[in-house]
Amino acid sequence: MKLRVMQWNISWKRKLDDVARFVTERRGTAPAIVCLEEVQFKTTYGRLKDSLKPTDSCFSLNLREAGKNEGKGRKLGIAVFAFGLSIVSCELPERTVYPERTLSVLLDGDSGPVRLVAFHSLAGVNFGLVKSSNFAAIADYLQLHRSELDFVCFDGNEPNKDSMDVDKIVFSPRGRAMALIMGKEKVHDLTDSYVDYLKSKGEVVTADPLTVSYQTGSAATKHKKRRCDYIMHSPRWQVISCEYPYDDSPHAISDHSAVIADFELRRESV
Amino acid sequence: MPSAHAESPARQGHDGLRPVGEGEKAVELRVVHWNVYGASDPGNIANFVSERIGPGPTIVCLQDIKRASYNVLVGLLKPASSRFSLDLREPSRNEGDERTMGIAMFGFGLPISSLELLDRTLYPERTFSVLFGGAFGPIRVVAFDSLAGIGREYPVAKASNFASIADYLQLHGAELDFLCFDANGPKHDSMDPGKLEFSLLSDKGKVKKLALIMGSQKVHKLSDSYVEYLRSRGEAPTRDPLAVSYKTGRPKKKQVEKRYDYIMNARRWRVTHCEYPYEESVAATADHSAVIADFEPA
Repeated sequence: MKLRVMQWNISWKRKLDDVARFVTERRGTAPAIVCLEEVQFKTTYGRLKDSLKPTDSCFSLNLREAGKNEGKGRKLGIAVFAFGLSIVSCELPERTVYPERTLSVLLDGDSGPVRLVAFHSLAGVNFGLVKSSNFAAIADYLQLHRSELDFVCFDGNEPNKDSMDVDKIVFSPRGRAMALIMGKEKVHDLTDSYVDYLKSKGEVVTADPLTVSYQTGSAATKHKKRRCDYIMHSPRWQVISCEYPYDDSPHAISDHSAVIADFELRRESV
Repeated sequence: MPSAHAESPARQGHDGLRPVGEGEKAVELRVVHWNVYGASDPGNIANFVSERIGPGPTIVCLQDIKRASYNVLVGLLKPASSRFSLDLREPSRNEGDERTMGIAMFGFGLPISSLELLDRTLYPERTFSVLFGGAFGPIRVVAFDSLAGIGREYPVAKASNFASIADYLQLHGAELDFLCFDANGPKHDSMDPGKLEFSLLSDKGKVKKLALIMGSQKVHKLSDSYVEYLRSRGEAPTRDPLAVSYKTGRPKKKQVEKRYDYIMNARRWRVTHCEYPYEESVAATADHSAVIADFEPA
């Protein structure tokens, strides 16, 4: 039983038609879960839903509408589109600082129940201490639900230094609580799908980052390449392929690469 | 440790606050708001508060309180009722120190009927909405502590938090009696809400989010109790700030005086007294002044 998972911070400035075209081209023919971040406003979600025609979908801003005094910063949500799977339930991890930038979805399909948690880091220097506080609250949720988790998809805006060895990943001072999610203090059992894929091929990559999902700075300044975008999977899934098609044009649509991974349910899990 | 409530000198009145004679029926409500600073000595805080508990029913709202301090304060002050915001949102094992500071609400001569956090705010435990009962009927007090600190710590979140608080105040406008808060603003103080200046650089909107709570774009009908008090006395000072509740910078460097701490009251209350005892508050180990105000039903 195969499953494709796609994670993508589409950038709020994106062209929706380009996003929909890319997702349609890449979602494959097997059951697929597509997780999009920085989906601004319900209208954007509605248009994507109309274009993609998923089997089922949900949107975080439907669970927490922005207040009348809250600005655009509270109108960036996460959309999950399921193809060949149905959505049983969805919830926001309520204790996070910006709950609408998180989404926990329980899906059902041929592979049984699948729990996917997605989040979008509070990026940029302007969030200061709140960024780490938010990671800590997300880590709490992952820890509490660790036995149910299948996938975690996120733009973490971290780390500062990438590595195949979790002990060697370095986080920024303001993002140190990210170590609870993807570093050596990890509070759950999921692993980095790209690293597992490299390991399955016998590859040892020492480059930093291992691959590119985002470039900091502007075109005018010197870019720094980073891997900020992740899919992590539980031991009940085996990763078959994982790619960051950054040079394959999605960065012309968004400022982040999509992450696309194929998984197979391990036999002992069936 | 002092025995805070037993021999409370405030029973005989304090400063400009009117004493009540024996057998006289209390008709006033006192509200004390104070950001005591997380590292303050709870014994000193309890002494300060106990000396200022009014002759009649009193609501004391303390901010920047840690769990251990709250427990000590309850033991020393022995209020008729008390609740702590962290009882509604305990920090988790992964969350750091910054999620361990809450708001404590104490009622003297008043029971607490219900309480809730402003759940849509960024740090709900730094907010508290408490409904008191008692002789005056239901009294709704909403308290919050701004996401303060040096600018780099909370620039975007601070404004976003004000917006969520404003939403709550707008939604519950008709029920509100008092609002107690450390706003970490404004930049410039004035008796005229239209002349208050808010300086948060990251708040780029035409309407500053803090202005929704205390400026000319206010989304509720409560007014600044200190300004109301000055007006009731026919005073119209133009000094900035109108009173000192906090000094920015370090004592050895140039400090700037600010009025960051506020009590606001609904129209159904008339303020009869309001003061900012800054020096005594700081002597009691806080870095902010308490705000103490007396009210009678209007």
